[in-house]
Amino acid sequence: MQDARLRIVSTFLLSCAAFSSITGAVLVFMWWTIFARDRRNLPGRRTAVIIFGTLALVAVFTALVGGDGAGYLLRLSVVMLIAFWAFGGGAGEELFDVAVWAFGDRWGFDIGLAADMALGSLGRIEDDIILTRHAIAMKGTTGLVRSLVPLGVSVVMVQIRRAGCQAKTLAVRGYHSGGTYVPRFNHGKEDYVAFLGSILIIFALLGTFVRYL
Amino acid sequence: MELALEEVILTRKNWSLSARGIFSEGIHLITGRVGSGKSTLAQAIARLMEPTSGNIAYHGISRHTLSMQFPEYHTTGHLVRDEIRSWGLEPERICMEAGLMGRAHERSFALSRGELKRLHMSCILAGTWDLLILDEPFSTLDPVWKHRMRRKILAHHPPVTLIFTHEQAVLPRVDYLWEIRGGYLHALGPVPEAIPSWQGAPRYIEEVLKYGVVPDNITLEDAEDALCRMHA
Repeated sequence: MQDARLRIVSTFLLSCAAFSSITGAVLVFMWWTIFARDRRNLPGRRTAVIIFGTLALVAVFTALVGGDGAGYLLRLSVVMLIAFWAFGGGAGEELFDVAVWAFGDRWGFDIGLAADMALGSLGRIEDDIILTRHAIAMKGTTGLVRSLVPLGVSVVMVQIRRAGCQAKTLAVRGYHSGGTYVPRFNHGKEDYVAFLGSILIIFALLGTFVRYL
Repeated sequence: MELALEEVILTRKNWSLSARGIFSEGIHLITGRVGSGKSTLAQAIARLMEPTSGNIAYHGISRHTLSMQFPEYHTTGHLVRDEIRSWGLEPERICMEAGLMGRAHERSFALSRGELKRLHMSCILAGTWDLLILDEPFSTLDPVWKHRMRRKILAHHPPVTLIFTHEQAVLPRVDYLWEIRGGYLHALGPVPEAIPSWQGAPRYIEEVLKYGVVPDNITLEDAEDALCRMHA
């Protein structure tokens, strides 16, 4: 799906559908196998282990306290697949396009800039995770569970520091609010078919979805 | 105790680095421009990444570690004292070493990057290693602490110490010089014989070499001594 506007709306609809029920998750997974085949953007093995491992841990905990752990794991895993499809390839500039198209040069520019910076940071997280894991291993801490908390804290703090530096840089360069940007979009026939597919899924699940809300 | 790079090749997209040579006991300085592959080679030597081809062999080395350029990656303790304990060290002593007396109870990430670097370097130099790999150990430090860190490295360095840096102003006395250029790691040899072939030498070394004098080592003090000897 080339058109970022359709992709963002589809991402929202599909994420809601996948999270609302197991049936929704299965339908969205089918949608993903058909329409995301050229743009899956799956993460590296280590990042995938950390992301899905964290989901699995929460699922086990949920199951232990009497919840539907397996259902949670399935639904969230499909939501993650949709997220990788939508943003894994680095969609910062596209979000900028969509935000300015939707909200104009003042609010849209600010929202787009924030989204662009946020996705830029996400792109660096994989490297941060790898380097922090190396550092933790060199201290002699082994095992995913024991290193998860220090890893999480360190990665979040590095991101916060980086965000602070970016904010200061913008301020020093004179950024206050708004700006000029001309959004551009590409789209093909398959974009509309995939978009229609995501709307059909939401309609098919309307009862479940409304109950969930 | 030595480290051998046996026809090592590291590649990444359109970039590659070839390295071969033996790092024997002593302090080795590995220089190169930004982007030449110093950090990548340091990580490969620390066995944190596999080379594309070739082998990195440790002979008689059982304990090794790498200090990365950015201290944040090493920081896993919420408080300064937790961070020091995560290295198996005693907070009081390390805080004193790092110039952070009375700050053991502060949050680690509340320290400035320079303070965090001092803390990290103090922890790493307090450990017992056979091989220590320091990637840009002087970055983010102010000039006073660069000089202090240089002295600490000289006082506490383990048998095989590798310093990867593009620092030009404050350098420690070293035993061997290496240089990364044109995608190759060049073994320039022992100091001082290697100094004249060091293409990325600091300005003060270049100036001294212009007079046809070779300093005993690579510090500013060595360069000044060489000039004094010449005039005497």
